[in-house]
This record gives sequence, C-alpha cells and structure tokens, in this order.
Amino acid sequence: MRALVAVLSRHRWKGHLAEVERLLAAETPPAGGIGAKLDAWLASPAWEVRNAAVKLIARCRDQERYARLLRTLMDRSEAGIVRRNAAQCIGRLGLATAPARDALLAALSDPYWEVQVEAIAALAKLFPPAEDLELALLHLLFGPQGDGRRCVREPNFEVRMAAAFAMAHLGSSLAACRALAALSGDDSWLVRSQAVVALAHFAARNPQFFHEVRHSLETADRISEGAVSYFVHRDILGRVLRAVQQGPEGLLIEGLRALYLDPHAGWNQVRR
Amino acid sequence: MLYLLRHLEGWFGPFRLFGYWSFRSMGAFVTALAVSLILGPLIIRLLRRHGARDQGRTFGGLNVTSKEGTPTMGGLLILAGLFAAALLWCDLANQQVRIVLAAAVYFGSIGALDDCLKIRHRSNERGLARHWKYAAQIAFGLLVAVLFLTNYFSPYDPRVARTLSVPLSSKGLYLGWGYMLFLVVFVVLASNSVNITDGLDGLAITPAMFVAVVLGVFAFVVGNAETAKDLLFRHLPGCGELVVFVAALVGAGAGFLWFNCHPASVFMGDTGSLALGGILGTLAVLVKQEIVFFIAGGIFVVEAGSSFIQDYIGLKLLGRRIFFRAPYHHSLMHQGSSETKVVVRFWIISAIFAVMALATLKLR
Repeated sequence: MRALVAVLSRHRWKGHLAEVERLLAAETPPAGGIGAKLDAWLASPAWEVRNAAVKLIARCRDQERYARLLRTLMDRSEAGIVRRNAAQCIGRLGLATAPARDALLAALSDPYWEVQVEAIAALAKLFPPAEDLELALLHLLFGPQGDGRRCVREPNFEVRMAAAFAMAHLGSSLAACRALAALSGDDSWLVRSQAVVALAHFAARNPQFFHEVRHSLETADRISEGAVSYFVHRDILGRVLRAVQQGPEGLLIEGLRALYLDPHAGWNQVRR
Repeated sequence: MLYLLRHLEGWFGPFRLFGYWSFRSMGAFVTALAVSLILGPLIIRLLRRHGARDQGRTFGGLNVTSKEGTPTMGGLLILAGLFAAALLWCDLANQQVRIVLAAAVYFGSIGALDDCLKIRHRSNERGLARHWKYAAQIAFGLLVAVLFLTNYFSPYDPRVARTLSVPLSSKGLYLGWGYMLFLVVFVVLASNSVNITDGLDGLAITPAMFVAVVLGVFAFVVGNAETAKDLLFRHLPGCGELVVFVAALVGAGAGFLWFNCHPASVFMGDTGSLALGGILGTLAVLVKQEIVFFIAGGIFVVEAGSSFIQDYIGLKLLGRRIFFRAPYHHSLMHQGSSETKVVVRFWIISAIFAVMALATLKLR
C-alpha cells in the first residue's frame, strides 16, 4: 500500500530524489547542515528517496543517524533495497558496536537475500572471529539442525558465496573448516571458487587445520562452467594447491584474492 | 521481380517454376543468405570505420564492458539480405508482402535512429527516448489496424480480420473494433520483446528465425485453400506469398548469425532487433496467429516478462529484486553460466516452443 501510494505520488518526491542524487554524485560529501533534510528524506513515502538518503548517511559518515540505519535494517516492512543498503552502510561506517552486531545477526534471517549478503559482508568486515558469529553462519548454511559438514541447505548462491568469504574471516573451528570444505564441492562454480580462496585464508589464520584444508583443496571440484573462468579456476586452484603444499607461510593469499576478486581478471576481460 | 518471369512460361517452359512458392522460397533463402554473407564483411568494415560501435553498459553490476567497441547496427545486414531477396523473389503486388516490407522499413528506421543517437552521444542510455519509441510503435500499430480493419484496404474479409484465432480451437474470438486495441498492443509487445532479448551473441536471431519458420508454416497452411480446409483453418487469400518472405527472412538471419555467433563480429543493434520484432509481429497479424506468436516466441515472452517483473513490480513497486538480474539471460550469466551455454540452451528452449506452436496446427 505504501509502495502504491509512493508510485502514485511520484511527481511530489521526484524533486527530492533529484536533490539527494545530486548530493550523492558530488565529488565531495556535503559539509553539514543537511540533518533536517536527511530526516525528512528518510521519512519519505518513496523508497527511492529513503534509499538515496541511506546512502548519503554513509557518504557523509553521519554517525548521528547510525541508530536510524540500524532501525532501517531491522524494519522488515522497509523496501528490500533500502535494507540492503542500510546493511552495506553499517559496514562502511566501520563502527563495530554491540547494537550493530545484533542488527546484523538478525539480518542473517532476513527474507531478502541481498540483505543477508550485505549483512554477512558487514559482519566479516567489522568484527573479529567469534564463536557466536561462526555459529550464526553455520546455521545460515546448514540450518539449526545441520551437522555443518555435508548438506548445504542455503538455496541462494550469492548468500553461500558471501558465507564462504565471511567464514574465512570469522571461523576458527573444525566445523568452519568442514563447512568451507562442503562449499568447495558446491553446485555453483562461483561458490566453489570462493570457498577455495576462503580455505586458503582459513589455513593461513588457523594453521592447526592445515591438513584438513589441504585435503579439502586436493579433493575440490575443479570444473567450472564459466567460459574462460574454467581455465582461470584451474589455474588458481593449482596455484593455491602448490602454495599450500609448501606450507602455510607460502600462501600468496592477497595475490590470489586480487586475482579472484578483480573484475578485470575473469571471463569478462577476455574479449578485449 | 523474378515472379513476373512466370508470364513468359509460353516462351520458355521452365519459367513456370517462378509461379511456385516452394521454388521462390528456396531462391529467396539462398539469395538472402548469399547477400548477407557477401555484404557482411563490407558492412562490418563500414560500421567500424564510421564509429558505429557498441557502448559499454552494466546490468545491475554485471559487467559487459568487454563487448564495448564491437560494431553495432548489424541489423542493416539482415535488412539488406531481406530486401534483396524479397524484391527479387516476392510478388510485390501482394498486399501482405507490401505491409510486412513497410514494417521492416519502419521499425528498422526507428531502430537505426535509436542506434545513431546512442553512437553520437557515446552512451547506451541516450538513445531515442522511451516514450518516443513507444509512440512510433503505437503509430505503426494504428496504421496497420486501419489498413487491416477497414473494408477498403483490408486484404481479408473484415469479419475475419477482426477475429482473433485461438490455438486448439477451430473457432476464433470475434473482437470487433476491440481488435484494433489488441493489434496496437500486440505490435508494441512483439517489437520490444525481441529488442529486450537481444543481449547476448546470437541470442535473439535464432529464436526469431524459429518463430519466422513457424509463422511461415502457418502462412503456407492458411494461404492454401485445400490445406486450410483440411486443418480446419480459415483460408486467407494471398497469405501464401508470405512464405517466400519468411524464407528470405530466415536466409538473412542465418547470414547474420554467421557473423553474430559468439564471439560476435557485429551486433544487430536496435536496427535489427526492433525490425525483427516488428516484422514478426506484423507477420503474426497477417497470418492471424497472434497467440501462436506468443507460444513460438516463448523465449521473447520470458525475457520481456522477466524484465517487466523486475523493473516495474520488483524495483518500482516493491523496492527489491525478484530475479538476480533481468532480462533472464543476465540472471543466468550472473550465476556463472558462460555466454555460449546460456545462448545454446535458449536456442533449445526456443526450438521446443516452436514445436509446441506447430503442434497447434493439428490439435484443433
């Protein structure tokens, strides 16, 4: 109903949207004095305006409205894209507070997958490894009853990828290692690739699980359905394996990460 | 023009062959294919030299900038092959052929204008404004409706023209003047659906060829009094000539696919996609198989539908994505499938849709 009202009154808020977008596009963030306007925009009936206002909070690094961001993230009646950007902005603001931790953990059960993805990324960015965070990720992947080893229950591949990435940073137990091993045999080659890199990260941080990681990497599925990524995937996996076989200190993690996460290194660059 | 040679049958017997659709269809196919293949390198070189190159774009984060710089407006190649073959082999006195040729010119021109503006502004976002594009498509729909529904111009009996054929039923649905509204909406939907589908190498042209073949078969059936009677269709005089046109379209499409298959040397651009959509929509109207078009072109329906749901229901109304990306082929690419795999799978699915559409010939 709220969305319908917003669509029907489009002419009223179009000007507001243009103004927020102009501020967002400006080279330097607005110096100040837009607090009242930000509050008005955050209360706009149009989600586009609220969304732009949320992004503007992160751009201005406006810590006064931090609580507002958390409320937006937890408000399930809010538009999915606004909640997603609220989660992203919480990560960007870099404030590792207890309310943020609670809000992000609650967002892991959000019905919209993009919110889950951003919440996972923000958790990995803001917080150090912790048992409860690892457990939350394991629950997300395997369900509350899952044994954390075999059957990944999360249906969305973007969430599985984000979980693999976060598990490397937040996990520190054998269950986390096994979860990554399970993800390295995922149906999606994108998840498998992410899991392979995450395993390497995990081994570097947790050398006590080095042998488990090596076993998982050696048995990881090397087949990829991406056009040229097939070769990239094999190449990277081969390099990870060689590095791991030399010992944890030989891991060239950052280089591998750069190669994986660089958008110009994959299939989409080959046509040039 | 070669059609006229049949009048010289008395002077040279084999000229009677030019009176048969089957012979002229083969000739049209070969001519269109040959013209497209011969002109292809030349047109691509010209497009490249004149800076008619694709501009990079992103689809909700999916990076397709790697295709930036590939020559676009390759629809000119399709239209060149199509016109060469149609002018040579079709009976140009036939009203249906004239209407569908007019559709090709009209929609091709809208698409070319759109492409030229994008090239000039070096941005895919700055082509012909959406409302102008819709206005031009609606104008053509109205023109066809007037030509089709008025007693003076209509190639068919007005009552037949205003009846919507329903698959699996030998009786149609009489819409009266309401058919005019349907026709306008149909033409706009048809042309845009092909345009939306045209996003990967070879993705739009092959399903378009399948749809053309299906409509060609229906044109043959309804254009032939005996076959139409046998299969419980209403005979539409003059429709058989469209078989020759369809053969030319398929030949030109095959010639274009030669250059457009992955990795593409040329893209059809809006010049090709809007023209193809307009031609197929007009063909479906002329053979009175509008609903069959939606079955045969199921891929176009899925692509346009996913785009509509994502943009208007998901993003505009609900403020969230419904699919990972839209149109649906971008969603599959986003999930890690290679371009070739997505395209070939879409071809297979469109072949299945075409067979389903052909099945409605007999199941009535």
